[in-house]
Amino acid sequence: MNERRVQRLHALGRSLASLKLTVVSLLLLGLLVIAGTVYQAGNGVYAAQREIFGAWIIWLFGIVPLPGLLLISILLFINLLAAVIFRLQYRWRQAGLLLVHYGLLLFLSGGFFIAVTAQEYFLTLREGESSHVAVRVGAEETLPAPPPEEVFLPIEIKLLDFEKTMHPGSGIPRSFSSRVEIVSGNTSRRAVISMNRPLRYRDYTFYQSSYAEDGMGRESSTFSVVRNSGRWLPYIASALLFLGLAGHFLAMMAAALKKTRPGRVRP
Amino acid sequence: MKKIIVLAMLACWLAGHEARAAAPFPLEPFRRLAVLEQGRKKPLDTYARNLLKQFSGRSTLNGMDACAWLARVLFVPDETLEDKLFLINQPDVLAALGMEGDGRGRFSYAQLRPGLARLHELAFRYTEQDEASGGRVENEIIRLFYNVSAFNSLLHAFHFARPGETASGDPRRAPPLPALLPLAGSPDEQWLGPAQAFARGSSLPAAMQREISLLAQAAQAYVQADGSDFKCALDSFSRSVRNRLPPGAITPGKLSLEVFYNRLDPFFKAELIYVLALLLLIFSLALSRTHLDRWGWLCLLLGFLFHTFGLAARMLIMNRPPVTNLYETFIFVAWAGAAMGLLMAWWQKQPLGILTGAISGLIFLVIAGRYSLDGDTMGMLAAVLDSNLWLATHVVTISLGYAGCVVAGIIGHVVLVQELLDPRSPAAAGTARSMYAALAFGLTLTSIGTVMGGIWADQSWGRFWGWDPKENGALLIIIWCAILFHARLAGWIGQLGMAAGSIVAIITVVMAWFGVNLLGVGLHAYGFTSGAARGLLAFVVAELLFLTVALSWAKKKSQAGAADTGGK
Repeated sequence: MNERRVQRLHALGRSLASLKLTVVSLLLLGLLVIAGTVYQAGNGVYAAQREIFGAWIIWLFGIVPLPGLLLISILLFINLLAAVIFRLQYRWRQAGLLLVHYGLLLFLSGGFFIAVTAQEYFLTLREGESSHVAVRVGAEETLPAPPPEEVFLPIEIKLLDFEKTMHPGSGIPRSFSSRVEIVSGNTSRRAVISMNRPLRYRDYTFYQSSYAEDGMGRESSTFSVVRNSGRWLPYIASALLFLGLAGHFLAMMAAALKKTRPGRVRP
Repeated sequence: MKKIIVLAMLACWLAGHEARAAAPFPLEPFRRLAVLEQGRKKPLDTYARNLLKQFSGRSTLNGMDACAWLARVLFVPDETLEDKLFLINQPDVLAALGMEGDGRGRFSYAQLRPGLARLHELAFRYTEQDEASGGRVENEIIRLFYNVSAFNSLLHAFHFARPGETASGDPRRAPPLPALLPLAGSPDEQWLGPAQAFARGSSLPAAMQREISLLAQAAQAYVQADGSDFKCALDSFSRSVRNRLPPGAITPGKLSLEVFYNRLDPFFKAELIYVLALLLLIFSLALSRTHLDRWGWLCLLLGFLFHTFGLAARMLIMNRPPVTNLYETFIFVAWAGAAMGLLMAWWQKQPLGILTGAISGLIFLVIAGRYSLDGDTMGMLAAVLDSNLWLATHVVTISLGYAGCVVAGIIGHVVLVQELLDPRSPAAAGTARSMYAALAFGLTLTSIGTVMGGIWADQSWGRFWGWDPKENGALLIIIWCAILFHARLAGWIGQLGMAAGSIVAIITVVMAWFGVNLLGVGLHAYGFTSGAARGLLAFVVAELLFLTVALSWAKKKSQAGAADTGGK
């Protein structure tokens, strides 16, 4: 029976969209975030990402399996998807809430996309040195250290000069910046990479990450190189979330104020 | 009208009230001298206050304000050797220095003198060790050593200006404090102390040599209690320094504003007025005199004006957005809480807004006051934070979100108490509506602020989200508020549950706000508070106790209520 199948599908969808499922999975997510933060304090952010934030299953004491963050996120994703299809009401009054939930859906799916596709490398150059080979991040975490995984960049970068300035009379850094030369093919141009001002080249982004000075007083600069073709996804999700939250909150406030303003009659 | 006049008089009295200087004459031009410390050009008044607070943990000494004290140290050092100046927090320090006496308290330079050689030796040894391995006594010894050395440096800063005393001619050994003389043309914008500059002598440009002699003239005028000569010398000194620097490097208006801000102490005055508002409110409730409510509201408004002035003055002085460090988050969240309370009270014509506004204003200002003991609260920004647009939007939005959750939690306490006194009363339901609004505001602003933070992180660190503790903290607030709203919609919790949940939201907020700073990891760990962990723990335990007692009592009461109706 076709109609019956539709009804069953609806019933399934409604139970997947259940608010109780939302509350339970949010609670689990919260607990995982707390656990990961505490774990990070003792073991560092890379370990926390591997063991908790990027895990399907967490093995408590090595034997008890608990749902990891990825599993919970998928649960939340299904719950959200079912909610926007079966639970939420498509009315103007709910427009803000709808936008918020669509924004969250996009955040989750964008997060998955980036987690699967994006890559982060490091590139350390001494002044005067140039290279087009970056090193994969996190390789130095495991012991004994395997040889770092190398990647070829589409451009060659030469560090001309690294400069750090301090606020006068203090040890507070004011700025770090690297003057570089970018060579692609047979053209080259100069650029400055500094804190809060990365260099973008196609879907690669170069960020000023850290610096060092060797015994000879020669400075070196380290860039983190991120290749992320989905980096615009969170921006769109952010915009949806922002519009939805602001719109819903203002609409609710307006409604509440209209109702609750005491003892004032307009002529 | 009458009320406004009374309050205006109160405001004037508070604004004019301060620890008067026990100086022979007004020190105004001295207070406004520009000095370079920790990368910031600040008035000598601020410098003196920070120094005195750092040495003694107090803002006045023997009834003298900090700047009057500094003037004596610089110009008549021999009179200050007996001042009980140096605060020692660890009883074992004196014994470690090989001195008699029981440990804690304030000690004068003269008292500590026999132990100075030992202090020097110990401090050097401890600083060479790994800093993290130092115990409390070791750290206290290092701190005392820094303080005593700075004081010693100040004692000799005007050595050259005193007739009959010969200054050491070695520029490397001359004390660099206080850094009053910019060495123009030096690449790292170095400023010299008076003694340092004097020791360099004729190698300096003529303008600087004239400035040194003006300082010497001021020092002699101070000793001779010649107020007009003192003022004249310092004014021409300031003018000369200003003229040597590029225009705008020193703004006299900002220095004066900062001196005024210091003297007014607007946040402390706001605290006093918030206390007054609370007292009025308690009287009005206890005596059922509702017209006292109006007084309470006006008081809250007055405190808020002082508070706002303080915030605005800091923005003008530093030329940056309202929240740039942990201290300023306390000031700003207190301000936002007071603003929300004011609006609520004005709109609802009920004392609830006065209560929440005054309490959130007061509590976070008190915490800020404790925190300010750590040093200059207008420090320079580390490179990672130096981006005015994002700093202005992300941090302010997040702080507003914190304030919303905190206000919701404070109202949550009221709802719980109302429910206990009179279950299902309409009063509690009305209060609960305000709580929902505050919580929704908190959730909205925290979410928007977190997303903005993600964008900032993507722009400057290359990732939108990196599971940094501060990010996790903000996420936790969002998750918790979302849980509350969804659980209410699902029918799992009612008014009482939302009230309890809002109180837990405060705990979440303080954990995200400064709890994660105590973890000391991650990219956001630039604002570290020492000794705040115990206070935080005590707060969390107290709130959890309150919740347990209130909820179990409420449960008992509702069971008893059910039994009553069942018996009828």
